[in-house]
Amino acid sequence: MQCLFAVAVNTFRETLRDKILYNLVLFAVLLIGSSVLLGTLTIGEQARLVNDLGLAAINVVAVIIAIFVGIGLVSKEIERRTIYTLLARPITRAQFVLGKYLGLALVILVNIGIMFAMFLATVRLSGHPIHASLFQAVELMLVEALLVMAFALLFSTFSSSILSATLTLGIYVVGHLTSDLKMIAEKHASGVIKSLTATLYYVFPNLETLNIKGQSAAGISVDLGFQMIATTYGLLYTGLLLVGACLIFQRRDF
Amino acid sequence: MDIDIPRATILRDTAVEALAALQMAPITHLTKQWLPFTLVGMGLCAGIVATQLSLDTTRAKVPKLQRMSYLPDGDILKVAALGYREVVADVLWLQVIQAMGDRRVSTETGQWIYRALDVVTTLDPTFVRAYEAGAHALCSIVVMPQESNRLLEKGIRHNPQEWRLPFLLGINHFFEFGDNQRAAEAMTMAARIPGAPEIIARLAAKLLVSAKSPQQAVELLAKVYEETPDENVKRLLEQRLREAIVERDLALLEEAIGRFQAQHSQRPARLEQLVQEGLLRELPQEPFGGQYQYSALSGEVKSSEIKERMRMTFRKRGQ
Repeated sequence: MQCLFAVAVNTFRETLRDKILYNLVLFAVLLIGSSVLLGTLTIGEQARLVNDLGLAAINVVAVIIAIFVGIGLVSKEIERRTIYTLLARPITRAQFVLGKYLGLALVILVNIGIMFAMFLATVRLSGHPIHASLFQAVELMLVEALLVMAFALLFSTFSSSILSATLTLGIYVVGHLTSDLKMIAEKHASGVIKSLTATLYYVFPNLETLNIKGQSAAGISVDLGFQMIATTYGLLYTGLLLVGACLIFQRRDF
Repeated sequence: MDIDIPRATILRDTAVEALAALQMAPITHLTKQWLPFTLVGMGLCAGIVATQLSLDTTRAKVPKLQRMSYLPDGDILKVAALGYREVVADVLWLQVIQAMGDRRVSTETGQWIYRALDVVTTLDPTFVRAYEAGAHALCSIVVMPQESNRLLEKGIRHNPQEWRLPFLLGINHFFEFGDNQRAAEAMTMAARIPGAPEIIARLAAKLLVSAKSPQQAVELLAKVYEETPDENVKRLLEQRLREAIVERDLALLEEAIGRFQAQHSQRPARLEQLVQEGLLRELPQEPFGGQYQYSALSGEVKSSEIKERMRMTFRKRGQ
């Protein structure tokens, strides 16, 4: 357990030293600038614009960090050959992988936390009400980022950085389209295609269930039961991917 | 220095000296290295600005909204937006309202406004403001009431809790099409939605009476009267309710008189005859405490308490 946390804390520090928090400046400028600018362009609905843009910006930044830092977690250690010194210590490979994951999860948590605070400040300062539903949306965004990051880590245990990034991005896109996949399956007459698309629907992560931005920007809360189940679904899927990543990394030669 | 030396020579010598000085200076090396890059960079900048400006002038010839002809269908965009539907809808919405603000809006632009708003509301069906502003725009800056109504009907389907949408639909039916029946239906729908101001119920009642459905007007007003807690509003509604009852009774009496006339080839001498002939079960009570006055000469019935009948009057566009 101690080893795991040591890896996690070091990953956290290392990522911060990579100036990852600079994205927050970008985020702040993007959010505040666009809220002020676009708010003057629209007829009414300023609150809606600020909410939509803010939530989308948080989501994009979180997913980008999850993908592009996530793919480097393991492969960077291998490229720099620091993995040898690490694994020579009394630390199992699973501990290493999980520690890496936890470290980055912490980074994302801190990032989302700060972005969300800035976002709420923007909403407040522009004189709009803060809905409880915004908290729900951000919680599910965190789950989504954790899930995407687990994919990035899984891919990076067996492939190159570029390939991992491409695959993870692909999963992100497919994950948002699975509900449409199901719709296609229902409309299709052919049994083979039906079962194939249905399989794909259940195999790929259903990221669209973790997306309640639109609803929450309008101030409509989702059912807490739904939120719990969606969170559990995301975390279970993440757990499965981490188990897979550990398994692959156990058998890997450098 | 010799005065006879021609100016050109002096200039040349100065230039040579200056160059020599530059070469001796510690920045010489840097200048040599940077100069070509700076020149090439400036050239590229100039090129970019020039092409950008020429692109701007070419594009300015195409109206802003016409560029949306390549806008994919809302259903396709919905999938392609990958969970960022609302932001895409917002961006599109901003573009549409900028185009609405243009000085002159042709019918063609109106078509594009409708199309873009249709896409916006497909992306985000709960974007009530888009339906509302679109419906207004399509009936004011261009005359496309059909499209305006289609947009509103779509909005009502997706947002049954918004009274503004059926209210606007009623306004459109009344002012643009002169269709009292449909206007009354839409207004009634609006009046029945919780949160709708009571004035809509009164308006709807007036429309229902004009559309020859006074009984519905009475029912609607009675319902809204029951639900309103505000005493002042209740008083207003009560007044209108009584007027609607008068209208209903007058319609009833007129209809009975018509049937009497058909049977006897003459008008009844008194209203009581209608009951005697079995055309009415009983004579209605005037709700203001007055009575219904009948003139056998003109066949007209009216209330002793009300001077003006409940009617909506207006002038259609272009009349």
